[in-house]
Amino acid sequence: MAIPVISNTTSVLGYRKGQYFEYQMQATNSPTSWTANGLPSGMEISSSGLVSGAATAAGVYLIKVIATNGDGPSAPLEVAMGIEDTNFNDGIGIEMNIDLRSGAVSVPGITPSGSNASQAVMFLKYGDKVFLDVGFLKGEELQTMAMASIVMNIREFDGETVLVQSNGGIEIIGTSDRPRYRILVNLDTPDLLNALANYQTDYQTTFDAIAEIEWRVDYLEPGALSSEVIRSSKTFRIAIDRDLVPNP
Amino acid sequence: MNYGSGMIWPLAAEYARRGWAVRRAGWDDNEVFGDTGRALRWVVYQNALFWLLYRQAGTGNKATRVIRNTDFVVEDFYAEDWTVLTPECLEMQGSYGYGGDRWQGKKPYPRPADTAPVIDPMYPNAVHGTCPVVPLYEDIRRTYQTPTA
Repeated sequence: MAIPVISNTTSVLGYRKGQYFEYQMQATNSPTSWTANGLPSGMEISSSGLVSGAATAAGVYLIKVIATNGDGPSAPLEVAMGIEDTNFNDGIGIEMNIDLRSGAVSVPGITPSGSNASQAVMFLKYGDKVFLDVGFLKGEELQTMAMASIVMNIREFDGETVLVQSNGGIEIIGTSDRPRYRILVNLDTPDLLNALANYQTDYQTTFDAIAEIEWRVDYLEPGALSSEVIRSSKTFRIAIDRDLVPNP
Repeated sequence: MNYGSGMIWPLAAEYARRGWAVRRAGWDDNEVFGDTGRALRWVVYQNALFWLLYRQAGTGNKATRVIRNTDFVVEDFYAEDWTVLTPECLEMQGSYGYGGDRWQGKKPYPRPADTAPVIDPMYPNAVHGTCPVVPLYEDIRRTYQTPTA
């Protein structure tokens, strides 16, 4: 027997961070083991040549695959693999993710690391006009939905008074298979101003409000009129700066 | 602004998924057939696979195959000259590699911090247009510019 010769593979062109992928490498002369140098973290190759896993970092990777049998290793086969980022390149909005399974909200870059996404917190001030780019996730994947409206409610901790409510309008950004839904929230309501003014002497502190996102999805039942499914996220904290409140 | 040229691969791939054939601007027939008017290779997406359409060297016969690891290398991922246009259209449009940051929300692949610049020596200032109106240096604001493969 001779050393293995690895067959050409397909290119790995269309995968994203967190997206599971697998590919069975092939070679002649019955390799008994496989190795791959340069795989992105999160991916591995098995002793039978199955490349699998979900990359944890975006980038372009040059992988050198070698198959070995009793007569020695094959020549390396190079495969370039591009892993796209899952985020978007638009600096206007604040990205916010909602886990569809749990309803937990996270704000990338702000939410403390770890799995306790209910501790998401946003730091805002009175007068802000905030674009929120809401993504709905199953695992790491953004989901496409027939979204009718998204409303953000901001309330006081100790009461049910709604201080701020967005108008439900959405704009789809990104791509149709991995969309984010942009909403605009104006933090300039009289109710919010009153709530903040009650604590005007508390300088260098923040006012803790709680927020939730409610979304409505068009739902078409066979043979019936379309209706809407309404869901809401878990609540999360919004810290609103007191120092920047104008005198009422 | 004409979309569809000067694209990064993540954006070109989205066009391909929606039925457009895409290629790199440099993939014309000049090298093999001495004919810059036609494209040599295109990437198309069908049945969840990316395919290569190409003309065989020598005969010029058209051929297709699922893209192989040897067809698409590291440089192709980083390139910013992906287009849906034929060489003739690109020529008529008078632009090469134009697109800059208009990537419709797609991000280029991140490069390692110690990567040396890789710029196409034929069009090193492509992000500013083919024949750009050059501003005074005092007026130059640093535009987003990544090395172009």
